[in-house]
Amino acid sequence: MMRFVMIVLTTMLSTFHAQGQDIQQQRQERHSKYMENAELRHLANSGTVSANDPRPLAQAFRALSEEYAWMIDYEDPPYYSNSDLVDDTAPEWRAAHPNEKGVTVIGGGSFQSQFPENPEGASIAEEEHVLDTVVSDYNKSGNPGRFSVLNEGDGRFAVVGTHVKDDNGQERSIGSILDTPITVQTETRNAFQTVSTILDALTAKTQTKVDPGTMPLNVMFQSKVTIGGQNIPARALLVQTLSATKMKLYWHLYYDNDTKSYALNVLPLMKATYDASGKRTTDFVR
Amino acid sequence: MKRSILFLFGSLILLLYCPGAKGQGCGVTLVPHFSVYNSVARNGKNVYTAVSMQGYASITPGPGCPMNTATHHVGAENKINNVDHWTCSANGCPNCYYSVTDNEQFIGVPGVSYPWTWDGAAICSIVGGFFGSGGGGSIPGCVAPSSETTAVAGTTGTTVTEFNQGFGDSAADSFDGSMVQEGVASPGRDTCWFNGSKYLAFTQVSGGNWTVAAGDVAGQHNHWGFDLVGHLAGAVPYYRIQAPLHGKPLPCGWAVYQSMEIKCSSGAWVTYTPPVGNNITSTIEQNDVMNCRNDMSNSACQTINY
Repeated sequence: MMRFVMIVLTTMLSTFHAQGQDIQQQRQERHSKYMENAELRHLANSGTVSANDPRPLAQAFRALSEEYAWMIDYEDPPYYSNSDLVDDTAPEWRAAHPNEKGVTVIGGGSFQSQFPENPEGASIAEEEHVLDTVVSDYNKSGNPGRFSVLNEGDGRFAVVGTHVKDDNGQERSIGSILDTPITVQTETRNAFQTVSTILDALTAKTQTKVDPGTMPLNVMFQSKVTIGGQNIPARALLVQTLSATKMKLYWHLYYDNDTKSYALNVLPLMKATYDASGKRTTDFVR
Repeated sequence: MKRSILFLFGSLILLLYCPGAKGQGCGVTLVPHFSVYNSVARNGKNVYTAVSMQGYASITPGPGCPMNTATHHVGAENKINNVDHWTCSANGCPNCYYSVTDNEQFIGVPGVSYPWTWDGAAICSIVGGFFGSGGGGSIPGCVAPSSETTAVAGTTGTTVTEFNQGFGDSAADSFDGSMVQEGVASPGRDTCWFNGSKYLAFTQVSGGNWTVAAGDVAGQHNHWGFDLVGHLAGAVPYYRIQAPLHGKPLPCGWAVYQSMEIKCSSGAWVTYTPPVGNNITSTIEQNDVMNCRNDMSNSACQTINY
């Protein structure tokens, strides 16, 4: 009997060790393939965007936004299952904490899309068509989540997560947290205070923490806005707030399942320019 | 005219004695006691030049010389970019005291150097010109600060530092009311950030702009600000816990490189910081956050226990 237990324990430990090694190897492979930024290529009448990131669609849309100065908001769905998340615990931390829960990241990876490109510049309708094309390609790519494009008006679009997978790998429809109606007292505040007030109200209403993320603080503290209302979707209040600032700003709302919280990152709009030698630089769109 | 004379070219010319002029056909000695002054005044937007001619002549008429019929006048020449401007006095008595000034102003273009010549002249109706003195130089088209210091002014949002900047140049120009803005001198790095983080990496400044001596630094001559530097409070505990688990050890933080530009009167922007830019950092440590601005002329840091 004792001998049997020993064999079982040894087998289990070997299996765990092998699984741990596999996880670390997979993590290393994933990290080696991640790209710092998505790559855009211009063909005759089309373009391609290539990304590799835990959030490849977000990475692709940041590149598109910078290339064409498009206002594209992006919103993660709240991924929660092993079907959408992968272990990302650092091996050195795991070695020091063998029995503790590690951390995860969204299990996205490689993604590529080809879209029509008008060399003369895209109209709003053409821009929307490009966004639809890229999102459609993404939804077929096997990467986590499904998304749809939302026209927010005034040349602003949102790419919104609509589906996640459960632990059985089945897709589940899910609404965006920014569609939640909230009430914010109408006051004149700076844009940072206003966004914080909106996020506090959203957190209180949903019981899901939504933090201010990485933000252009100088611009947001300097911009005075008068925003508020009763039972208005958080998204509408955010659009009003950012549209009233001194610069063109858009957001990327990211979810972290380990902390069960979102961060609303706000970015200044940039535009790529190319010199005669083809060297690319980006400038703020002021 | 609300402007301050901030820069006086070192060309004060004071002639205590010059050779006299002799009247034609009669004996007369003219001893000019004239001075020619020139100055450039700038307010960060426009360039003003002024040339003044002041003084008088001592006259010792010889016998038979009709100096009682003579008149004198003086003129100041202010020649900018090869366009000549003269301001002259009315004719007056030969030994009267005269003072005239020619004032000009223009909007400079960055990168253009404007030739400038100045002159003062005194003319007698009988003997003609009997005094002249001047010089020349060049004026840069856009005035930009040559030094900038930074100082901690306070804290906002628990973990963000407010920095107040003062700048100027050797001519003590006033930049009050001018616009300054930040740009990206070069890409930075964020060592807290990991792939998949809910916070975006902060690797470049975000394009803030300020009016000098306005906003948070209203009334502070040649100051701009506040420049807000730091992680937001929510990011600090997030990275303290999450970053090491994802392989990013503490302390960690970001460093970005800020170029500063000032708007010239022509509407163009001129960068006044060195090419490497101002190095701005925010570091998360186990028990505090440290925010620093390493400016072109000094550095300042604030450590916040949080």
